[in-house]
Amino acid sequence: MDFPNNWQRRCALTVDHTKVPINVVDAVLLLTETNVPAEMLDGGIYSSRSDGGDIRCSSDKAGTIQLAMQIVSITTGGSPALEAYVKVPLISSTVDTVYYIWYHNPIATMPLATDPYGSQACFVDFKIAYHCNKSGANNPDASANVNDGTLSGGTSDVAGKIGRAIAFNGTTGKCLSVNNIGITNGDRTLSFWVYLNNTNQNSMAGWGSNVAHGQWNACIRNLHWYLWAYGVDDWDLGISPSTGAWVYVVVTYQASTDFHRFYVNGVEQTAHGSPVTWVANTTNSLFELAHQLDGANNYWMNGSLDEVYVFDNLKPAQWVTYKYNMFNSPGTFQTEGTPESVTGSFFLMFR
Amino acid sequence: MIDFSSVKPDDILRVTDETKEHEIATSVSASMDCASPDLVKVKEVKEKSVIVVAENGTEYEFISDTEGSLKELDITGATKDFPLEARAETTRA
Repeated sequence: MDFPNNWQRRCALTVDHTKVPINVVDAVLLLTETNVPAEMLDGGIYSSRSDGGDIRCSSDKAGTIQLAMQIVSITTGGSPALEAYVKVPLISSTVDTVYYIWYHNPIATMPLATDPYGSQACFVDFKIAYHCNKSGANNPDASANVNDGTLSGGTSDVAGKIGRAIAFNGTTGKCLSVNNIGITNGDRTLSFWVYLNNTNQNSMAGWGSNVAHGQWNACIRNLHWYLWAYGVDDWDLGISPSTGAWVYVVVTYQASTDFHRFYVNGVEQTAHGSPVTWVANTTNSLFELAHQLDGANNYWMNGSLDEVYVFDNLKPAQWVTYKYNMFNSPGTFQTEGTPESVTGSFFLMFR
Repeated sequence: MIDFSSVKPDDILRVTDETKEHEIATSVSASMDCASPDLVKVKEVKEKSVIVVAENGTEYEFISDTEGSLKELDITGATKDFPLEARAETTRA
């Protein structure tokens, strides 16, 4: 069914420019029950389908410019819940950005992941995008690379920072991507939400092998945040992580300067110097969560991970701030307007 | 909103400003780090932006916006409004 014909409800969504310190092209924005119309999820007369198959977004009010989306999870009626993402062509740092969400079309179905407006188009700029909404032993990658993670050992599905997350038991649980990450000595950005149960030595996320400068892992070591290179130039940030709370971590590497930066909850960590410089020569390998193999020793993360992203490019500090604002408080990052009926279109259902 | 309809790949753009030409050109020069700072080549035209390549090969994305102070951009003889914000840093995703 061609969008927007036969969609019956529409609502403006406004991104607060004060939460966006940099212009962002093809911004992938989070939709939750806190920033979409309540009627869309209440199971009532204007509600979306229970599987979210009729939820669409557009840049313009007329619906001529459809946007790529992914519905990760949805609950309508009862206790409404939503985790969805939409790729908006541009969000501005100087003026609020308005776009539109459409719903209530009982015969619409969600585009396939590979469709032009499907999930892979939404996450096309990502090397890996794990929502950590696992299915059995599979941790699906939303990006077009389809580099899913395979879970093993002690893992479980738990409430996340956004939607669901994956908990690792600290003794055997880990996740390994199906394919090599394909990033060796170039720019990169790694971001994720982590909930630590303790500060035992571990690797939260990363890749590489045990050769000098061959690892690139965001870790906990010496009870501190730690960027692991292997052999030399490891970076002990000298700052103890919080436990028992969700924390947003971003690590970047800029190949032209060899600068490494480490951000926690949107703030660059500079207590032990930053940026720290070494030449990353990371071994191309599988991307791994919650486990570190250091020589003959295994170290495991006891905690949970959510929204794990990898990019093969450098994100600036302003991007980190924007993403932190978006994830940490989606209801203030973006607000819904007043829903309205879409005039000039109707449909009949024949039984 | 900037009209990119007449811009096409391989166009040479000259970045100028109606009232602050030197200042803008100098600023763009510094940010673009190239010898002929105000000349860039169009690589790709998108819905709300233009990706250009400076002489040193660095790519920049010029963003259209609905508000903000405007400067002008000469496009191989034509003149287009272009937001001052176009020089601002941008990122993706």
